[in-house]
This record gives sequence, structure tokens and C-alpha cells, in this order.
Amino acid sequence: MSKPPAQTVHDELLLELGDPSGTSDSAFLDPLSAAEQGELLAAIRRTRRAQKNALDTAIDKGLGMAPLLLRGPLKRILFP
Amino acid sequence: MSQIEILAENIKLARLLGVQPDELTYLKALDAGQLRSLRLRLTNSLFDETGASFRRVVTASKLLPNGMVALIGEKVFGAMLCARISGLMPPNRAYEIALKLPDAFLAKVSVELDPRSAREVIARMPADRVTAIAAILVERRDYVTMGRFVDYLSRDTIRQVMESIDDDTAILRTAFFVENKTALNDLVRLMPVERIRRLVILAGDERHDLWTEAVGLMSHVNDDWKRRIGDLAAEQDESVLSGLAHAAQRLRLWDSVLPIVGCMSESSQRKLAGLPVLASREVLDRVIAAADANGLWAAMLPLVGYMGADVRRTAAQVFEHLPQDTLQRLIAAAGALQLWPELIGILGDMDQAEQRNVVRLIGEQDEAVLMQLLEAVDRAGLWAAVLPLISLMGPEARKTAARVVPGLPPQVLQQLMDTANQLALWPTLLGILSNLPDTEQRQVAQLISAQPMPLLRGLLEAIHASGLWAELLQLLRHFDDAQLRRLAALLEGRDEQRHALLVAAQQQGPGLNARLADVLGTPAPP
Repeated sequence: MSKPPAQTVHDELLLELGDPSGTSDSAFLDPLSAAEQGELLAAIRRTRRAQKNALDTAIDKGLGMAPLLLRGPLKRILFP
Repeated sequence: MSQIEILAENIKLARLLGVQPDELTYLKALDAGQLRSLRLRLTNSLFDETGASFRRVVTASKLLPNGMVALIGEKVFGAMLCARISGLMPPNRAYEIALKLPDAFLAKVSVELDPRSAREVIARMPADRVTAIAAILVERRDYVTMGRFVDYLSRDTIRQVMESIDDDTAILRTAFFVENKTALNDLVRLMPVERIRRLVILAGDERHDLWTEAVGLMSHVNDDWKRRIGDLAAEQDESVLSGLAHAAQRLRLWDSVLPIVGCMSESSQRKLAGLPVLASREVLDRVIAAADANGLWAAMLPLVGYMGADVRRTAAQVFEHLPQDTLQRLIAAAGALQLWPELIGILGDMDQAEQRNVVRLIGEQDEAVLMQLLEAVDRAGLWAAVLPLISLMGPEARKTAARVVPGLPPQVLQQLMDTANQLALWPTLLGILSNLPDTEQRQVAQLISAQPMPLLRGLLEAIHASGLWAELLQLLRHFDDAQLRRLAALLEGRDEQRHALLVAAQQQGPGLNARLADVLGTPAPP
């Protein structure tokens, strides 16, 4: 089985920006060097993690109002 | 897009990424449009990611009354989650629920909300609720959030909000972050002139450091508002206009300030041009660089004309050191925007070597451009300034200029000859005319032959003084005998000139020589 081609920082950046196929216009990234794109990629991933943590915290806080036994199933149903 | 827009986009993107704007220096290669594209794509990506997973919450919420959903949203899930969920709800329901939430909580939700996802809800919100929420955001100095909502509110609501906000600083800072800049025209239209004047004075107060925001507002309104606000600034104490120029220099905002200046009245522009800050070489360097980089010569060149002689000379020195490609763009702009008089004024202040260089570049323009230049020169009465410059042209450029001359309207040609006569510039003009092809030379010769005697007398004196008899003969070839006799009458009693003309004619060949000999007699030793 052949290995999938290695992703470049540019590809990963497009993935983070919601364009996994790289089909939409990404010319706005062209002036950035690979290193600068790398910094941007890291910043976006940090933001995404922070956003996920904040939302998870809010969800857990909300489910904390429900009886302990129901929290797991409720979380799976409401936030799949 | 301008430096101002880069600043605003940088702050918005930093906010989205949860960092400080100065942490984004690695994005300095991006212009404002590219930063905006990045921010919009990232916003979509971050919001879309969570959208699908919240749909079940929206579905489940249907089982509960609106009041209960509002209560759970506020007390249990919090602003961030509510902001994500609200955009997924039917607008009617989201609106009904929003009405049941307190202002303080809605203010928190608005910070987390992508307004595009809830545009109908925002548009329907009662003005007094929006006003109360805006007051909370102003207190928190969250101008980015306020700016994001301007596009989605009715003008009446915006008017009520602005009237409720006493803090003029908040108005300027909010305007800086408005997404759709054309909305700024409405924003200023909704303000009484007295408030706009207050904003201008506030910007001019250096304690507040608000010129970036003020220039952001002024540079995005239409030309009419640019003029009105720019003139308001010029009407104030000199420190206001001076503060604007200092800020433009310090923050590199000339690309935004020049279009404002270009819309200001002439008296306001003169006031700006006379400020000491504009006399600095460093400032003029940046102003001229901004004009070139952003195609703002139409705003910049008249300003130089309004400067005092010393400052104009300093500006001319900056022009002298511009690279060739910049000069070529300047000349092209002068042609396209009818700015020849302004450019010629600057040329007059340059040293002769650089004048020669610019005139050479002008001479390389095509005939249509040169024709336009000469007509503009005539309209502005600038022949006295231009004829000496034409004498600096290289042979090729003079030939091009010569091709243009016969096509000039007769009254322009007449003005050209009058000026040449008054300022003893006949040698320059003859130098040009001797390059004309035969047919055109005949046309000009006929015009010269019909000139009044004093003008022809001036022509002969100038030719005698400069030894240009051979050039005159080029024109005399086209004179008929009557015209030659008229000229000969002017040489009566002037044996030296008469002799010089006949000697030159002998050297030219038999045809004209014989005709002249008939009219003037044989050459006698002077």
C-alpha cells in the first residue's frame, strides 16, 4: 500500500480554514513564507483548542444541572 | 487597501485568535484585503465546526417554552454556547428568546456571536434594548463587537444608540471597526454637524491618541463628507490640522490622509500646505512615496503648488531624487489626470540637470500626451515656464514636440509665438520648428508671415543675436514673394542682418537665394 503524500504546511492551513480539498481561492496566503504559515497554523490550532475547551466547559457546566446518571447519555444525545 | 485598514483588520484577527495584535507580526506581509479574507475564512471555519453538533440542542429546546430556554441559556449554558446555538434556531424563536434575556447577558452573547448567523434577530431587536446593550459594551470598551453589529441594525436604531452615547471616543473607536465601510456615510449623516466638529476636535487633542480612528472614519466616507469633515478640521485651531499631519507621518497614514486632503477646499489645502510640519524633508518624502504607491498624485500635486517657495523647493528636491519609474508614473498621472500645470510648477523648482531628465521623460510620451500637455500649458498660461524647458529636451524629444506643434489650435500657436517674442525665446521655438516636416513647416510659416511687424522685428533681432539664419530660411522657403517683401521691409537700414540672411541663403542653394536676391538685392559686405 503506498503512503499518502506528505501534507505541506499550506495544505494543513487550508484544512484548518475549512477547505480540505484546497479548491477555494487561497491566494491571500501566498505572501506568507512557509515559516509564517506555520506560525499561523499553530495559532489557529491553539484557538480551536481554546474554543473547544471553552465549549466543553460550558456543556459540562450545563449538564452538571442534570442528575449524575443522566449526564453521560444526555451529552451523547445533545452534543454528538 | 490602506494602512488604516491593515490596523483594523489586525486587531479584529487578533481578537478572533485570542492574542494581542502585536503577536501577529508574522502576518505583516498580508495587506488588508488578505487579512480580511483570512479572518472571514477562519470565522466560518470556527463557527461551522461547532454548528452541526449543536443542532440536537436546538431540536431538544423545542420541547421547552421560550422562557425556560432563556433561563437555561443564561443560567446554565452561558453566553458562548448560546451565541453558537442562536444562529441555528429559526429567527422568530431566537428573537422571542432573546427578548426574555437580560441586557447584560445579551451583551456577553453579542461578544461571542457571529452577527451574520443572526442577522434577522439583530435587525428586529427593539432600539431601546440595543441601546442598553450598547451602553454595556461601551462601558467595557468593546468597540470591535459594537463595530461588527452596525451593518445589521436599522439606521433609526443606530441613530438612537449614537444619541444615547455621550462618549465621542466610543463613536470614533466603533466606527473604526465597522465591517461595511459604506455604512460610515450613514453614520456621519446621522450625526449633527456639531457632533462631527466635536469628534474632529477630540481627534486633534493629542491626549486621546485618536487620529487613527478619525482618519479611518474620514477616509471611508464619500468625497462630499471627506471635504466637509476635512474643512471642519481646517477651520479649527491650527493644532488640529497639524496633529493630523503629524499623525499621518508617525503612523504612516498618508495613503489615507491624502485622499481626504484632495477633497478639501482650496483654502483648507492651502492651510495644510503652509503648516511647518509639511516643510520637513522626511514628511515630504513619505507624502510623495504614498502618492506614488497609491496613485494619489491628483491629491498631492496641487498641495505642492500651495506651499511656500522654500518648501516647494524642498519638495522639488524630493522629486529630483525619485527613481525613473516613479517619474514615469508621475508623468503618466499628470497626463491622465490633467495635472500638467501642477507638474510644470514643480519642474520650475528643480535644478536644471533634473529638469532636463524629467523633460526628457516627458518628451518620450506619445504625441497625444504631448498635445494634451501643450494645450494644458496654454490654458494655464504657462508658455513662459515651458518654452525654456523644451529647450532642454534631447533632439528626439524635440522632434516629437515639433510634430505636435502644427496640430495645436491656431490660438494656441499664436500664444506660443507671442510668448517666444516677449521672452526672447525665439531661438527655442525656431529650434523646434526647424524639425518640422515640410507640410507642417509651411503651415507654421504662413502663420508667422501673417504676424504684425513688431513681432517679426523681434524674431529677426533674436535670430541675428543667436545666428539662427539657417533655421529662419527653413521657414522662408514657404513665404511667397509678397510675404518676403514684407520681411525685407524690416531689414531696411539693417545691413548687417540683411547681409547675414543673404549669405546664409547662398549656402542653402540657388532657389531661395535667387528669390531673396530679387527682394533684398545682392549681398553686400556689412
